[in-house]
Amino acid sequence: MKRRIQQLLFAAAIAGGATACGNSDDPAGGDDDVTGDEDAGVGSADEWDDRLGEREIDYSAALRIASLRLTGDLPSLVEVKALGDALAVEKRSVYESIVRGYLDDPRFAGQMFRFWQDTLKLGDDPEFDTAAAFAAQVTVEERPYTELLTAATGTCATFDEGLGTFAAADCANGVTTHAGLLSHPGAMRQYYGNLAFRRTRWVQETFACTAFPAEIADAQDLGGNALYTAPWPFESISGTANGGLVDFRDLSAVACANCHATMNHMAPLFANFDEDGQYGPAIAVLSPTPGTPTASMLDWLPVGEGPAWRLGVATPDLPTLGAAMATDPMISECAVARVWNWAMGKGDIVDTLSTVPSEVITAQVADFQAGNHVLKDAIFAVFTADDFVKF
Amino acid sequence: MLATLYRHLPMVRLRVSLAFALGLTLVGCVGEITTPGGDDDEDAATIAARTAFEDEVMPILDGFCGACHTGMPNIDFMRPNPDIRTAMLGWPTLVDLAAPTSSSVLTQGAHTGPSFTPDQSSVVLEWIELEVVASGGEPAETVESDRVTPIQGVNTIDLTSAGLTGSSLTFLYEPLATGMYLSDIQIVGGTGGVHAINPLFVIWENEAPNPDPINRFGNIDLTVLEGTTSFVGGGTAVFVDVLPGSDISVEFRTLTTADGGDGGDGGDGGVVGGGCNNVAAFTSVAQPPLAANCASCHGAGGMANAISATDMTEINNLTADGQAAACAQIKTRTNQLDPVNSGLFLAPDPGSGTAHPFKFPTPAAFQAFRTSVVNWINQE
Repeated sequence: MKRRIQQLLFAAAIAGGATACGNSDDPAGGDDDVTGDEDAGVGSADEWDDRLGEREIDYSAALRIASLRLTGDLPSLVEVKALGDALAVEKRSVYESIVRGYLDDPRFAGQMFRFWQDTLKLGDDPEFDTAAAFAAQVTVEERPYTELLTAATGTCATFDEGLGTFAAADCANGVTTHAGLLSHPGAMRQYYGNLAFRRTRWVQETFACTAFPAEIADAQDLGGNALYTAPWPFESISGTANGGLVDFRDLSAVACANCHATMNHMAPLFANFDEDGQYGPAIAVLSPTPGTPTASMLDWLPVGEGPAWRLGVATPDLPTLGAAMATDPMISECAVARVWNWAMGKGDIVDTLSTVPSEVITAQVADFQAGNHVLKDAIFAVFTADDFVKF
Repeated sequence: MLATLYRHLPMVRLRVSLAFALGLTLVGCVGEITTPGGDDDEDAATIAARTAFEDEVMPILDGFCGACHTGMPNIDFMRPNPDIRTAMLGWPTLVDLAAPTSSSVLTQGAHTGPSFTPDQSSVVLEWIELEVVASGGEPAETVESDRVTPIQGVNTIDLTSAGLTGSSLTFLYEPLATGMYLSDIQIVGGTGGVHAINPLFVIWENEAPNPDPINRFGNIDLTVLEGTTSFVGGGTAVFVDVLPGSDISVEFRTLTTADGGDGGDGGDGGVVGGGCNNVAAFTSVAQPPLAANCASCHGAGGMANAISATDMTEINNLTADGQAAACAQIKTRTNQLDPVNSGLFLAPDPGSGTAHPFKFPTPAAFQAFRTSVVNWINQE
């Protein structure tokens, strides 16, 4: 939790000075109110506990929300009557049964398709939609969520909205071994940009639920005007001093390296996709410097450094990146947190800083991890959680 | 049938364990019966009753009743004198061996303490019936109805095969995605009427019986006169996590004609629980708001469809018989386990969203109405 707050503080601070790094990929909607919220929470913990304790279970109200989220429609009259007429001792089991019915309802497939369009920020284009269709198919068919990061086949699925059915299909963008959505042509096309940083940011925010910086360590004063906080050795990423076109080691205003220490180790993995999302043998992204030359590995990393998911987790290619992410607890927690926010009517966890404290979803995350990462089970757990049915 | 049910429902399991215990005792006791820690002169039926009390009833009483009924003067029927079972059997009206379902331990309902759940009521009733046998009476026999495959809409289970010519149990069936919703569950009194105790719904999936896990009608003792119809409890039942459209049967603890059994008086208009227990409270606190707010449509001379839905034609008949009949009708629209959520309140609740011609103009007015009627339900 403390680490998460630190990340948010840094994200907010860095959003204000990001332009100093020479790139304009800063997230829209940075929120300056984070510190205020945190301060307010410290002195009023008891009051909020009391307020939370005043909530009462209302399965009928919960059913209305669950039905709208999971099927897109209001509950049927017979469902309303069945829940209303259920004896007090059986209301929970009746409610849970109806929710189980929603999860097996053909309309749920459509809801999941739209959920993933929103979550992936990919949609309304046939190629983009294949990403959401694949993610929805994995969810509806109760396959492990980690397939979104590791699946080698079937990652360009299609969805028939009329029938509510999926058809698996392989992506044809030149990738030898796919890594779920990490090598998806639609995602790579949509998030094409200089030095592949937009793709990197999309992967981090979508699947890890935090903006960069993704890794934070004790601050170091390296002699500039900003402190360095990433755990990586400062010289593990490029600057103009080692031949890079962009000085990621600049400390004159902000420490660009605080974010780029991680970003520069991930970005090269996405560099060979061109602006159409097609994979080729050579780097296909540009450097945002005069003449916009094609980037080279030296623009991200000095000689001797290789791609990685996190410090100490080397990932020489996309399949290993996907595998590393699949085993990262942060990814599991992010998946559950996104479902939580969806159920509770919150906005995007990153864009709106609608973070979910880890302790709130501890049980659901543990079950998700222990249950082979079946997102449908996590959805059921969230929609039947006390926090969901209490008002 | 029961042999299979035994595996599914504690209430029925009890019968097996006790029958088994009874059998073992009888086989093993060729000579004189001796009971460690008990009365050496106890016969097998008494042992069965005592065992049921100690193993099944006492855990319920300990959790719900002991705090008040062990030591508080005048209500201390759980004071061990010489033991709790003996004290309870000797407490006036608490355990009625002539009419087990009329025992006040079962009919008390919610008071300062909570009421039994239907399943708990069933366990307690089971014990009392064993006490009947222990005292030399005849054991109750269950009756199982025919199975029906429900269709969407009105369904009828004919009770003729149980010897009740022209009588039936009817219900509306609507499927849920993962279950079945039954409403308007009623018993129609044919020749001689019907006296039914604890109708237990059984859902059949792949020929395997699944008795209602909470035995929701475990506290029902219903007498329906010939030519009349009465709701069973609140008239609804929800069965979840079963295959929609599965066969349904009903097992009754007792099913006889209205005058043919264990004390059903047959003269109360065919109502749940043998009519109202407290008609005076009904007249005092429930009749005025019902008459003021509902009688213009549901009362005598009102709208036919409204009367058909909820009959209040006797609500303004202040004679003893009139109020008893009115009370009995209204009681069929109440949920004594959860009074504030009784079906009676759903239609006029301005916040319920149901289509009903009359809604109270304000939540406060509705609350006042409900509070008065709930006052009576609690006294029932």
